[in-house]
Amino acid sequence: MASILVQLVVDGLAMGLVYVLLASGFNLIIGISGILFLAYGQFYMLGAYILWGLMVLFKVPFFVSLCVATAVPAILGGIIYKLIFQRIQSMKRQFLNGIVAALGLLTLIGQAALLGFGTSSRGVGSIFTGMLEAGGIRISVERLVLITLALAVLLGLHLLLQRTSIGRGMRAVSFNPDIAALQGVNPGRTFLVSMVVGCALAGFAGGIMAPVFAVSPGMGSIVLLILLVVMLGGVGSMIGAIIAGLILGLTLSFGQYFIGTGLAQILFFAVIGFIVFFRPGGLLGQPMEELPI
Amino acid sequence: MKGGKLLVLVGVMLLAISLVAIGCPAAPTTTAPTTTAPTTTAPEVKTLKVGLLCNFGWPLGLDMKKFLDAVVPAYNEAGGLAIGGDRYKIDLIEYDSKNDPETARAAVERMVYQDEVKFILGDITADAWISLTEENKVVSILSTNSPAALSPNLKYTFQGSYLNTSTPVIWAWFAEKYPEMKTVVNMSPDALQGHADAGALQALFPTLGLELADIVYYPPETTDFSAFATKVMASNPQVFCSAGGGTIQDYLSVKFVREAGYEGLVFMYRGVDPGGWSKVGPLDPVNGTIGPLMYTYLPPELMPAITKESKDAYIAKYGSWDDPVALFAFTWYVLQDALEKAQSLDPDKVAQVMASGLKFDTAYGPGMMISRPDQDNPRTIDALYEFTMATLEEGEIKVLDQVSADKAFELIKKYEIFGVYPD
Repeated sequence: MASILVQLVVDGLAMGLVYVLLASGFNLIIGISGILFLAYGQFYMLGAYILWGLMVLFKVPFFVSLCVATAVPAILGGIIYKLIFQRIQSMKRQFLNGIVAALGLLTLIGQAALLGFGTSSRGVGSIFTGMLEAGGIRISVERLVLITLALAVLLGLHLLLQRTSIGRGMRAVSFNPDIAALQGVNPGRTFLVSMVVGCALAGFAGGIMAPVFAVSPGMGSIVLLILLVVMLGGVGSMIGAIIAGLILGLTLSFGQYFIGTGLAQILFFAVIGFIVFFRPGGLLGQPMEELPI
Repeated sequence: MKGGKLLVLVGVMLLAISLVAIGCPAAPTTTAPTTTAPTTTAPEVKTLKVGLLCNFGWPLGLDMKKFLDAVVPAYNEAGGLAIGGDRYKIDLIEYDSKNDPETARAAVERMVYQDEVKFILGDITADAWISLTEENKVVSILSTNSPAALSPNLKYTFQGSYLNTSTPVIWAWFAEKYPEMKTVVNMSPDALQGHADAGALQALFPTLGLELADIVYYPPETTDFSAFATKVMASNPQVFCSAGGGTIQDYLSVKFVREAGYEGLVFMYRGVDPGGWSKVGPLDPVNGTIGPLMYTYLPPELMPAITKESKDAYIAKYGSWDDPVALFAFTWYVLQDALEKAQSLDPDKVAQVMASGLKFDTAYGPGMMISRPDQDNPRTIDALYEFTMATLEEGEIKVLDQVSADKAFELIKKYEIFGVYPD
């Protein structure tokens, strides 16, 4: 039984790290620019399809494909910000307008993927084969690589936010754009950077997931889970996103094993409800005093 | 002014979404009939209208439509249906049921009263409209596992797909072939069909001497099966089976179970699908998997002529064979054989032929109509197909056994799967 419990922890942490990666990017966008970017999951799907296309159709090596799968969603995110959200941010009721625009993008990109790729299943062959086993605990090498890459990128994100002038600017803008502007930080540029980095993280997550799981146009629906993770961790809190992502992974892993699929999902909602009841801003976030609509 | 810009922006986005939606082939928005026009219009050749009702928005329904759009014109090209001294070209009248009973009934009303169709290839919506076809003496050959379609009160309604018969008979084959294998863990999607499948196994296994050690349900869109695989390993069954989740989920469930260290037998009783699985990932994790094989996967030397002709017709129309899951196109072949054997377009005569043990040949293998004592129906109203069992060895298909429809029927009688048959 002990080995099963440890195995479930390993499974849950591996599952949770992907949620952490995605939630960090989503958090960056909503925390800094205030955009509830519901089309975020489609950038995850896009990253996976780009990696699949490059590796399967053009035989491009994995790491090169992964770079492209990260860069293209990042560039697209930047373009979308400049064309749509920058304009919306100068309007009244920018929050609701932003949601409408994000929903439109979600549908547009989803339908375009259906048209372009069809409903057939796609997959990338395993890049790193083999299994590691110790004390009855098993983990595939490809999953270990996924975990390592996710951790490396999260560390990079942490360094970007804490040790660079761009990161300091982002944190300042997330606190108060007007005060940050008085200190010489360009909020518009910072919003753009948060969108680019956030979408890059989504593309990267899609890219590292593709060889382990499968690629389909429905992948973008993960955004709903990510939204819950961000709510649980607290909007704008990176550490909160990490804790919440891991809680989600572990809850699903243990829940699926012990109480079944449907109840596991109910359990996760119950955990969120319980925490948000006592901490309305999430685990490490601040309660929102007014809705920025 | 800003509000005006927003309106323009939203308007442009809505327009773009509408254009994309209109162009999307997976979700047809009209129920208007489409027809495959006869390829020749020689005056001496008559036309026979056949209705096709399926869900165009569902991959299997769409594949059925695509498949028939290729093979029916090819059948017409080859001379069509010969009855007495007359020749008939088949005019397929197609309607989208949208898997919605009301839409389906409206479509059948149009087929019966407007198009004056006397033969329908129907789908899972049949419960909503078989009273109408019965009343109007329209022969309906269905792809549904609804017990209502097997009622002894019906005269013109037949189940033409493998849905009711394949699972029990394939498990009966398994129980005989691997008598030492007793404990089974089944993995199914946590949805209506998944629960129905698992329930069917629960009911069937005691008859066959098998033990269902655990049923693992997963959310239908799951791609991370690690926790579920750990659960399978906790039972460590002799046999693991996964079915009904679709190509991605079936493949990934096996992959993760193997990664979790499972070394037992994997039995995919709904079918081994090397074509589909190879699109998801390498075939290594599914090597050794045993299951029924679609005839379209058979090696050329074992492939029947009718299967090869169908594949050729599909390739001629669409340019390539993209492994369509045209399972429900079976019904077309059943109707074709019934008409040819009845040598009549009279629905009463065609129904009589079907209800009297019709044997038929399809692109997916030959089959026969059987009665259902468990439904108190002595007429042969359900379809039983021959099946080929195969495994994957190093990614290659290896045929293990070919079980004729007669042999399959013997298994059904032996285990009293559908009740006791009279001698």
